[in-house]
Amino acid sequence: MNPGVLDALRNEGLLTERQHSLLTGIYSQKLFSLYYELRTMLYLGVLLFTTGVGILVYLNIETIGHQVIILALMVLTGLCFWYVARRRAPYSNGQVQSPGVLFDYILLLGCLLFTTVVGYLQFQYGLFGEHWEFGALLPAVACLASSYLFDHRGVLSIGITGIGSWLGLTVTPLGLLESGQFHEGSLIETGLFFGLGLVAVALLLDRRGVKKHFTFTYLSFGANIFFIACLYGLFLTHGDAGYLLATIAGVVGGILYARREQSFFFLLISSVFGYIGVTYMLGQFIEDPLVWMLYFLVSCGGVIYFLFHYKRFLSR
Amino acid sequence: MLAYPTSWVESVATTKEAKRWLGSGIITDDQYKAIRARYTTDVYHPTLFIRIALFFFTYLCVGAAYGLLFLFIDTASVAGVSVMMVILGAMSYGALEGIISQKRLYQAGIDDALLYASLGMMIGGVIGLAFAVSDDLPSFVPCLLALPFLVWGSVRFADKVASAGAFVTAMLIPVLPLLDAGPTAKALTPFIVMGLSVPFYFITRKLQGDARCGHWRDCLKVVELLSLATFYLGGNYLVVREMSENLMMVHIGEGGDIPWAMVFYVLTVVIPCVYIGRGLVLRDHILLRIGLLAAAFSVVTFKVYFSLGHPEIILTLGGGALMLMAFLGIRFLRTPRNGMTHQNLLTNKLESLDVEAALLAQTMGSTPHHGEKQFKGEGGKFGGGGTTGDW
Repeated sequence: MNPGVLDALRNEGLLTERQHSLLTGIYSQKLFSLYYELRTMLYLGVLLFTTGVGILVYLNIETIGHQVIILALMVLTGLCFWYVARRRAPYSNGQVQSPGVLFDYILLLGCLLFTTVVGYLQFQYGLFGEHWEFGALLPAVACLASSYLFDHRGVLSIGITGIGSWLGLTVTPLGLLESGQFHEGSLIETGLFFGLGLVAVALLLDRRGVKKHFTFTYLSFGANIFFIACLYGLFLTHGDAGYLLATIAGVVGGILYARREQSFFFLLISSVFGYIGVTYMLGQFIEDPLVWMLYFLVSCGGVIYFLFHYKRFLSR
Repeated sequence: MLAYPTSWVESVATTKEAKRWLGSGIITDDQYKAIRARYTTDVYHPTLFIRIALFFFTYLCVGAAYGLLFLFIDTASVAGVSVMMVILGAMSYGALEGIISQKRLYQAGIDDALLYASLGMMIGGVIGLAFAVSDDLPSFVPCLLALPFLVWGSVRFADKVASAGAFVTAMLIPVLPLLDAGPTAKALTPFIVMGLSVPFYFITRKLQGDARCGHWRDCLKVVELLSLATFYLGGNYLVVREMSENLMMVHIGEGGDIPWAMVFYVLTVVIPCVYIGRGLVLRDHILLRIGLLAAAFSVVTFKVYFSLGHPEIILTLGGGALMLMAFLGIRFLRTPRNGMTHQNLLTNKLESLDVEAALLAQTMGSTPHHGEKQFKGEGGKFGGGGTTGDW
């Protein structure tokens, strides 16, 4: 930030003297924030610790130490939840300010440790007997519940991926793209309905005014899972009309939503996924490279024109 | 020098910063509106997502245009293709300059895509021509040919990717010939890399303080950051050892070690400490963050060569230590000390995008899944467990 601009803003009366000196202090590093550094350390610490513990537990099965370890983990998990339960502000449908930096990460640690403990108990003692899939469902539900009780979007997204993995899907952002999970037909439909379900939950809760700041998390997971399942469906069936219709419906829905909510993110993903779908369908008919080049030239030009005028479109 | 009029750059930068002030509760809504009104422009500068989409589609469109033209051209000789590439690159460059002034685009995705396409074509074409002239060129020649284009991209368009590319090629020009040189030169390479990084660091620091370079501050920051990284990596034991073995074919026997191994062990430890220390004293986020990254990489370096064979214990203890350090840091800065605080002073625009949630889902969200894999071996009832792909 150019210090001259700050002075100009103050001289024109757009900033008060106090704001000017505060901002000058921030930009000249007289005020120095370690916010991101400390948060990243906490985050990495939780990540490494829970990963390490997860391996530790499984490596030490059948040794004397493992009961001690699992007991310690249960105590630690309990302590985490005890801490957040004690510090939390009362529930509200709106956004609740987190009581502190540590609060967020202790909740995260508790949720992840709980996952490890449940997994271990099922593995070693058959906690759910034959219904071992509850071992994946229970932590996911616990994460979802915690995300509402303690207002934590990170834990919400872990809960959503947990539900996905209970259904047999890998829905982590990268996992969605790289894994070949949708090569299996049945999972495509699972993904399609899971995506739709998430979108429905998001819109319903948003309308009811329940934790509106969660809507984006639900919707971005839902929309991406839905579109990727649709596209895999298209590719596998070589252009089944049902998947094509689903894709088109998704694109239309996404663009309408983008227009209603002024959301560039949904405009972006709808146009990109829609473009891929349409291009694939045309690929069934076009073979001549000349036609292909012309198609890309014209269609991309069209999308660019559309996006270039998105402001007019979104505000209409 | 800059393709974009400075009034655009200043207006866009000021309104963006003002939005952060608003988000951090420093200014009121009315003040924000007043600042926006004062710095209003008709420049086309879309939000990040639209910029990404426009970049993607423009790149595809330009690629199709190139493909179309190549369909009509005899592409038998390398020289012919190279000449064509240079011409196409130059045409794209002309389009880029034209579209910025005509359509008033500023970092809008379209201009970014055209810049990379034209630079790529021109650099590729020139290198192709050089190889058409002579098959036996020294390895640094492509870097030497690419450098002017990348410097031009940084200066004319204040593009950070071009700046990074320019820095890397500039570093490679003197370093690449050393890889084929004699043993003394090979052994000196790490120190030469470190030595070359130093002037880059101090010059970019100095230029950032110069008001005339204000529009290129981000580019200078990129080079500053990279020069710190190359200085550290040049002295890092793991990098030096792997490079010696794989690129310079230095043979290290059983129980042997690279020349001056002790020096590199010390550098691996000392440089991150110096970075972090100086970063805190000078209140410099770049130094501090690179220092923290370097420290993490140093830990990995020693793990690779002196492993105790228990990664899970190291992970658990390391994670615990990190959490403890962060906890103590937050406690220590609970009341700001000497202007240092753990609170966020200015919100980052990425915060509203839920980046943290996506990161958590990516890195930790798959945890239940690992457990599930284990169960599958036991129960064996569930066929579609996520990763099976036997279609």
